[in-house]
Amino acid sequence: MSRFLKSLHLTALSLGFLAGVAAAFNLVIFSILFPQVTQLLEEQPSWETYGIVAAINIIVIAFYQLLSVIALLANMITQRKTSTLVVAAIAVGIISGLMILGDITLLSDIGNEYEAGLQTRGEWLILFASYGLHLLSLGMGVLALVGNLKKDTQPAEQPIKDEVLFLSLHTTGVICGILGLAGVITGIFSSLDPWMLQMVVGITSLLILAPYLVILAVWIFRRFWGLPSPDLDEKQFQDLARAGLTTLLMILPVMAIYYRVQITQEGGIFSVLWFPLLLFMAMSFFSSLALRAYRYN
Amino acid sequence: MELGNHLKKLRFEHGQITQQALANAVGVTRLTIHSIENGKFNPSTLLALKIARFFGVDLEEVFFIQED
Repeated sequence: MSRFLKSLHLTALSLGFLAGVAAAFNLVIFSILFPQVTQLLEEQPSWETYGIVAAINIIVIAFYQLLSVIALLANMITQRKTSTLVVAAIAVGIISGLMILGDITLLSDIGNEYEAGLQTRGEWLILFASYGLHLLSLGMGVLALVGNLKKDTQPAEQPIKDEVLFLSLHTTGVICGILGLAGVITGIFSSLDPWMLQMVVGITSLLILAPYLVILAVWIFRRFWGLPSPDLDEKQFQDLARAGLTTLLMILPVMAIYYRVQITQEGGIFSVLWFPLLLFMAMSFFSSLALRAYRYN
Repeated sequence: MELGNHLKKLRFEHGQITQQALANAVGVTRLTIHSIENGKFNPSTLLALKIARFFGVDLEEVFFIQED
């Protein structure tokens, strides 16, 4: 690991502890505000102070997410080795970082709806779920950064055909699939109107798919910068084919159930959620099967 | 009937070359060599021939049929 990469890791790590405190502090602030705002109580003078502190905390968390993802990605590309934890930390870090934009939108929405005398319970639920993700991302990021710093710094034997990208892609697929399913399930219980649900789930799904774009960027980077070939070998092709067939067989019964439900419940939340639910289910099945086949078969 | 192999033995006889070095020589990933070595993956004819050529031996000296 170069001196620059090491200092990047150390900076991200120290910022990580600060971001942990900031996230915990915001959770406390939101827990105080949640009952007052949902019960539409009179606005308190302390709310403004809370707002300023929460905004500073959000900046700290966002800065940490950016720095930790850059440090972990840079290390993965230069060292040409990876672990499930590192890939998971990168994927969750990207989603969590993008969700910060969603948090800002949600907070602004809560403020506007409170002023209009409307109920904001659904928005709060999504905000708390988002903070759960931030805390998860912080924990994973700190562990991955510490792990990288502890690892042997000797460069690995240079592979001509690289497996890091394949493993990263499918680990990302499993994580994004599970997070997407969690997001859809949160949507089901959020009691939002179908049109609002469609918008929230749509945006959240796009955010959750963002790590794939990063993997694609890494693939392009490798292809055109003379780094190990990201093309698949014959076993990877076979594993993907098997995983694809098994996924199809697993998804078909779920699709049949959906077909039955959407006939009887026309216009309900299932008509909004069927696509993201099937997409994330297929993603998590496919990637976990491909990973299992490649690692253990 | 299964496909058996002497990959591990051959690697050690040829200067203890690593799975990664063999993978690089025949253009696959290290995990693919690991799976072939453990009998979990049957390579294509082309890959099998590449491996035999790398060690400078006949195909039958690397791969063989294991009767049940």
